[in-house]
Amino acid sequence: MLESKNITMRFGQKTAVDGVTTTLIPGHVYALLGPNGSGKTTWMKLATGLLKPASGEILWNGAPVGIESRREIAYMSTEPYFYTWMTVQDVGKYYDDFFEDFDPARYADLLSRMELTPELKTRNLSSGMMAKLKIAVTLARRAKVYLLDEPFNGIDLIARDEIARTIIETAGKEAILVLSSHLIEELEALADHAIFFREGKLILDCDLEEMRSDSGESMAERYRALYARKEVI
Amino acid sequence: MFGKLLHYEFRKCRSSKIMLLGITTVLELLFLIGILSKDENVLAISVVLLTITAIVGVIGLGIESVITLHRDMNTRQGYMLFMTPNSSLKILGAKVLENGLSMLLAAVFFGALGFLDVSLLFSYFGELDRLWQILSEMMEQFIPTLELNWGTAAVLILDMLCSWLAMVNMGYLADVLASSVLRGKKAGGFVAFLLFLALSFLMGWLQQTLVPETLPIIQRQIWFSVVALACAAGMYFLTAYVMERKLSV
Amino acid sequence: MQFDPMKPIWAQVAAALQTDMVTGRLAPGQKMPSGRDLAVRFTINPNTAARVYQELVSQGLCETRRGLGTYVTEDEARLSGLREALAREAAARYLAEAARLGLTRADAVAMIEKEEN
Repeated sequence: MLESKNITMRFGQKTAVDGVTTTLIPGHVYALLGPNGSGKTTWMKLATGLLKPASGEILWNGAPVGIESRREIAYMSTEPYFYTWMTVQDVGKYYDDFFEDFDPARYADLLSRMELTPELKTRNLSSGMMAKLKIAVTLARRAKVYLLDEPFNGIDLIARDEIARTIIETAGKEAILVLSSHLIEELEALADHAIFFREGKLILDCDLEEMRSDSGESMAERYRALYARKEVI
Repeated sequence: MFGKLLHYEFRKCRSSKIMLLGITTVLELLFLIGILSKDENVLAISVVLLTITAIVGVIGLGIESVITLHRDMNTRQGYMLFMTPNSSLKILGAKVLENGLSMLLAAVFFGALGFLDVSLLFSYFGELDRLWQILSEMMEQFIPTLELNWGTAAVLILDMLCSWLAMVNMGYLADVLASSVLRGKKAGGFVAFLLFLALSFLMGWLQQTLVPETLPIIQRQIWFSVVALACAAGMYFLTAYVMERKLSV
Repeated sequence: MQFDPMKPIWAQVAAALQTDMVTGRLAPGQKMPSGRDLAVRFTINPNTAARVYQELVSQGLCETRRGLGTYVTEDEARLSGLREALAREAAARYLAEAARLGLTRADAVAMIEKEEN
């Protein structure tokens, strides 16, 4: 169980995450939605321990996130972060060295599905290939929590289908998946819960199928209702 | 996992070491050409350049270590390091160890190379035992009461080691403090440098205050080293603490 | 499969499977894919897939055999009942559309006769 307890993060004068409280439970896929700068990435980094909050805390199975939780929480950032001297194989080796839950066989399988070869140097990868590599190495971990920031960004349609398939295969009774994306339609069928952020605050937390049967709205429709700019008269 | 951390710290600094080795090889070849052709100009130039390379190289390795830490704390590549399940103590420890080992190896390498080169010089142009005599005379000029023997040499080496450990940790602490407060803004490097100077001043003051002036020079040096070592350890733990609690990558 | 994201997805997948049972694409007694495989096949959340099977089982159209998986029912009566239910829904949709276009019920029925195969 991943509990976010009134967590707040400031960058100078700007409050990026403002008192976000929610509980994420295993066996669910959460869509994290909101415009750029609404705090989704910052929240994910707080959950990983890369950022230290101004106040509040995030607990993984009762303990504050930190060194131990990183053994079980896998994070994939939007930006590329691999060392430039590494090859695709080196990246896998690095993860294997530091994460006990890394599965090299799964990595090899994902690489072939994404059409990436081990000798490719990370500095020579196109942005699309880099995006696929990040996903492949992150999902090759058998983690308990996956925090994927924009997993579909910059990826072609066929590869997106592969990634969706891999995400579904990864989702199980024990895993928590959190996906943030601007491609809301892609997430409609994948997620079963949606968490909406605005200006650092959590404004809505709901079960998607319930939303559909209660109000006949899709996640995209609800998004529009929440964020569309009011017409200026 | 510490071994792995160490392995990757070495790997991160590999290219600069290769470059240093490359330059040294070229200069050494130049030196050998000078010896064979007995051209004093070539010899002089190559010796001077080799000496500069040795000093700059060893110091540069130390500085590079601080720069690598800075990069790890302030750029995306830092995610690689900080998202692994390692405590700041281990992460920093691997960096200090890599730095220390690299510099030690470099110092030994250049020392051996220097000794070989000087021996070559003397075997071509003079006798080998003159070497020691010249060095002793040089040392006596600088430090009248000092006898050059293995004991004093060991103390000097110990002193250099401790001073360097202290300086590296000073660099780390200054950079971590600046990064924690300024979060990668441009002024960070400048502030880190100022902090470094402040810490150096502090340590120097501690050494002067805690070690009585009346002691003979060898014992003073040993105590200076002890203070430096204590400062190094203190700063190491403080840096790890700040990294663990306050640092946002 | 293309979903209407404004309606519960589990219901749409269940309807697709029901149609398959009636057309014979899913034969009586045939083994259904596991929950996870169903999720992958339709690219849906695994909980949604589980809900689909829950629904089909509660309607008596599927049965779970412990340790073996989920199977299409072999009960012919159930399947005929399903066929009739789906056909009536189709008819209702046609009549509603015809009414929307301004046809009387008699016209609507006559239209069916006119339709050559």
